[in-house]
Amino acid sequence: MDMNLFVLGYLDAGTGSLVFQVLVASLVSAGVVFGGVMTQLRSFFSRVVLRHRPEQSASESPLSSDKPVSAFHGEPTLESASHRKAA
Amino acid sequence: MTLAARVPGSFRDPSGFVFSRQGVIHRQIAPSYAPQYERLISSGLYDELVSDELLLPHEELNVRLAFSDEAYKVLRPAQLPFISHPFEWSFSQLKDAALTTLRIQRAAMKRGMTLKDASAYNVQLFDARSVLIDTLSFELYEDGSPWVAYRQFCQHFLAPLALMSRTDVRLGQLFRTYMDGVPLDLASRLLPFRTRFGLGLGLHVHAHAKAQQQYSDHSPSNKTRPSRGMSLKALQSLVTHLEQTVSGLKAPSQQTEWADYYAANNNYGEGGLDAKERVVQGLIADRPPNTVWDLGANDGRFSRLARATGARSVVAWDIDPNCVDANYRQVIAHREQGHFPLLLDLTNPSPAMGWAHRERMSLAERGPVDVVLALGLIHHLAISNNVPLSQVAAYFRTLTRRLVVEWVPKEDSQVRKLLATRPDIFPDYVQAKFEADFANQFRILQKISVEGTCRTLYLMEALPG
Repeated sequence: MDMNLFVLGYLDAGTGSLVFQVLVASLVSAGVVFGGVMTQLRSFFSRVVLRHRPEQSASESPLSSDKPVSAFHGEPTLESASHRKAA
Repeated sequence: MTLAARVPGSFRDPSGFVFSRQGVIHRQIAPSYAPQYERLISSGLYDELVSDELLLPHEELNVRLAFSDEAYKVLRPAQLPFISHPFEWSFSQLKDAALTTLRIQRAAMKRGMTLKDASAYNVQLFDARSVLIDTLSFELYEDGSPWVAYRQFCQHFLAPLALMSRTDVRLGQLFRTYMDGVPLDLASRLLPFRTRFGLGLGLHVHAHAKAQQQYSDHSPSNKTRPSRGMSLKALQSLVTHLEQTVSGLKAPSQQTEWADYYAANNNYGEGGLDAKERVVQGLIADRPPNTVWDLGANDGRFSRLARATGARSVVAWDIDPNCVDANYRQVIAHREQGHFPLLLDLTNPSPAMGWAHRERMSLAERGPVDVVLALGLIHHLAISNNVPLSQVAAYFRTLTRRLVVEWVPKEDSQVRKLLATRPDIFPDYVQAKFEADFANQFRILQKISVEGTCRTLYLMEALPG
């Protein structure tokens, strides 16, 4: 880092602070990159796990996505009914 | 004749300075700052920051209105009703100012600029928002450069916020001693040991302090310089990390003496408080003031009353950091313009500070105002702090043209509480002596008993001369 290239302004930026800042910024950037890689890996493996999940047994029929389901006692909600009408 | 004077505190930055002409603040830009100012305007950064309410707007005036010859531009910024100092701010106000500074730095980096300083003194409350007031704080961004204001940001914002949040809210007062922010080695020593293990404070305060010590006697020689520059992406990550660290600091939850005064701990029934409000309103409404200081404002109940009478700016001073913080949050939440909740110990008011005592104005230098409200205050000054009534009157006269003051007699439950743990050495604390001492400084215009209490409210006018 050539400090002669910088416009240091009128403030004393502090040698320790300048040097330390470069290290911290590298660390934090590496953290951001690492976080991004971890997120991608996590999403990749979750897809792989989903793909290899054992089939559901025949007795447990999956819910139909067409059937409106409410959080309250399983009754169809007005909202879901109206959405279906609009659709 | 144009009376112009350079503002004494504006001398550090060679890019320009602030001067006052007939009471209106102007900013003169030096020719050496022309490229930076042009970039600020042409890049759209100025417009963006003003529309996001992050930067104080200004208008360009004719350069012939400059204070001195060497002028590139003359600006007239929007006029601030009141200038406050960071040690007068509550935790939330300092935190908002920190986040404002980082948002500005983020916006500047996107447009090829950077903040060359990050002083808390450059941020002020304006229209119920924290705004940067120094238009000359921007520098052209040089590829590979670090943020030169990083150290200043940590000292002015991060260290005091961390100390207030994690150690004790009263440590915000360290700003009074350390005008350029809290030294990081001191902050590192005062913070709890466990903060060393957090990524935010561990890095930006503790490790940063160690790095400063490590390089304290090094000039920036080739040996101390890292071999590579700092990419823009790394700089942006640094600012993001600072934002996360500051955002993660929570207001301290210490119980303080006055935080619930009006809610539970007061001397009035609801009727008495309403009666007091009506009397105060009546006393100031006859000649609505422009500027008001409410001394001992607590949650700002009477400050709001003064504002409702048409006062352009009301400063709600209180000694209790939690009261001031709660009041500040209310001001921000409801966008209460012209209302400034600030911290003040009236027995040790903000002094003139800085170079030659002229950089930062004292409390009295920021007055006098049209009206001072001193409600439920006299007994704390005279009895808790042994200040003679004659001296209270004399000091109040330096602060205001008119005074609304509440006399609280010894029979009042609050005074009885103050005297419960000490001998009564105040034979002069009687209403007749109060009136006589204040009559030496003020003309008593009105005197009204507050219904349902043993208190009396006075409206007084400062004697000329």
